[in-house]
Amino acid sequence: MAAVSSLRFPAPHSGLSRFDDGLDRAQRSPLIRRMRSGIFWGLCGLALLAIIVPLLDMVWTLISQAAPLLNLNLFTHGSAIDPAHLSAPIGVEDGILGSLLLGLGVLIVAGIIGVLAGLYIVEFAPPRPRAVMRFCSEVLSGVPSIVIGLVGYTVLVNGPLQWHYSLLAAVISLSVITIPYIIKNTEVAFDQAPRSLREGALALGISRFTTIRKVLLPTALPGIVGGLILAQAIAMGETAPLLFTANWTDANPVLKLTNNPEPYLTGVTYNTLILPYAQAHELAAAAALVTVGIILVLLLLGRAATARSKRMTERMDL
Amino acid sequence: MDVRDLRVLYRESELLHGVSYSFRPNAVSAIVGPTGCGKTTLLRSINRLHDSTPGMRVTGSVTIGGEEVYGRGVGVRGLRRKVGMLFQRANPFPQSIADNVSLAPRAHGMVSRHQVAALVEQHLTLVGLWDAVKDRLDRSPFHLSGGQQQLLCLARTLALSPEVLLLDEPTSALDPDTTEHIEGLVKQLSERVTVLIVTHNLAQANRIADDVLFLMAGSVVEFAPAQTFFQNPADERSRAYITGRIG
Repeated sequence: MAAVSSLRFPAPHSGLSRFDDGLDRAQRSPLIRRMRSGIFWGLCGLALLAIIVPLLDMVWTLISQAAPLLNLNLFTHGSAIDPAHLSAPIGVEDGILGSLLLGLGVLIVAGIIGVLAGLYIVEFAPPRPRAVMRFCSEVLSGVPSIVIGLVGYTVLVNGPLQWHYSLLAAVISLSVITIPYIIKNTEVAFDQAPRSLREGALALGISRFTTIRKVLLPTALPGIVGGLILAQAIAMGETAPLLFTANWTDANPVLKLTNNPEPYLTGVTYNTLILPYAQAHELAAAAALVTVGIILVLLLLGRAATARSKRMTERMDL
Repeated sequence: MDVRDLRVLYRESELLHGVSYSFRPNAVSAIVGPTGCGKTTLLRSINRLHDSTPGMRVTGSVTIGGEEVYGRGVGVRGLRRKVGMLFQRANPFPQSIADNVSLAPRAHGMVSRHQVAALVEQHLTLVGLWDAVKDRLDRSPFHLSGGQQQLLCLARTLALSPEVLLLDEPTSALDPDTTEHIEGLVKQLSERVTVLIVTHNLAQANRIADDVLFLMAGSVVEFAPAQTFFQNPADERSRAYITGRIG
């Protein structure tokens, strides 16, 4: 930078080229330049390692700890441990089914509410309600999940509604946590659609609804799906609010909305890790590994779901 | 098509100061003038595109075929079906090439499902794009060149069979060959459509316009047949603009 501010042109007949203004030579100064470059790329590499190493370490730790249980029994047996028969096959079938059920519930409840609210905020709301809704959504996203669990407990589980520990109470608590993320993603996704697209649709007399569905949605879809996937990942990973609303069980879930404790994967990890058996600790690691695996699958599904709209928008100037 | 005492205000400032003129039907009228003189503002008041911009107000009257555009009970969507518009930069929708052409006619309920293919072929042929895209109708339009994208947008507009065509510097970003092609099309279309074209390019106005409207700072300086305007303008400012002394 210093070289730029002290621009000096060589005097005529100084033996230098007319085009040599000193800048090139300053940049060529080899040692400092190479050191700067080295430091920069070194930091980039460190940052990359800081992301990759913990992930690989975590996955490897889980795999090695869960190793004895990594067979098909994992998916076909429940997580109930009988101290009298510790060698009996155990698995996380109940946790997988329970977590998928919770995920489905969140997809329906939070997905519908979040996407519609985001769409309303970005496309329809007058400025004042828009600001209020945005603010509320931001505040909500900052509330710790255990507080939401506690509110769920006092209102849904054991309050006026008396649903007791149940699927519905758990789904609603998880939805409250995830809705702000879905709203934000939906908003950003529609907001980044170029103005020229809206004008083009407007000038053709296409209705607002058709414009949103056919013209804006293809560009917004990847963002919306990204928000839904994020919500799913949160629903798979949250534990604190579920302790208050789903409680936990090592039985397979039944299709009962209220008055029935609900199993979930992180609950398996949480509840078996404290048991004094090696098998239980292996099971805790296996449940965590399956949780990570499901999140990975969700991410891949999200990519597949947006492939078509990506194909239609690639090379578009956004 | 008549425009009477058209004023456009954005918040406190007036962008057009009472513009009045009559456009000949089935002719090409070019709107020319220096940057910021209100050409595009004028064009966009004709299909009421200012409606959705907060702070924009339009007063005065625009009539097309005797019907008041800003009248009470006028359906804006129906108006825009009859008044098509092409923008400076091609803006194809993120849909397949065929859907780009058929989306608006289907949205207006103008075609049934089995007529769609014929409609698409007809209008892509009309703009001279059919041979280039007939094998990739279901593909994204963003793989086409800029000129082809603009032609696709023209086909999309024509698929609604508009009575008036508003062109906002449609060729300013295109190569000379495509520009010539589009100019030819516009000339040919003007046999059945009233065309208004905003252009910075006086040579282009000279090539295709029947009439020229010259705007400066939001007011009409001169409105004359193209030949008169370019060869013997009535106003000194027109002469200065044509010869490049102001611009």
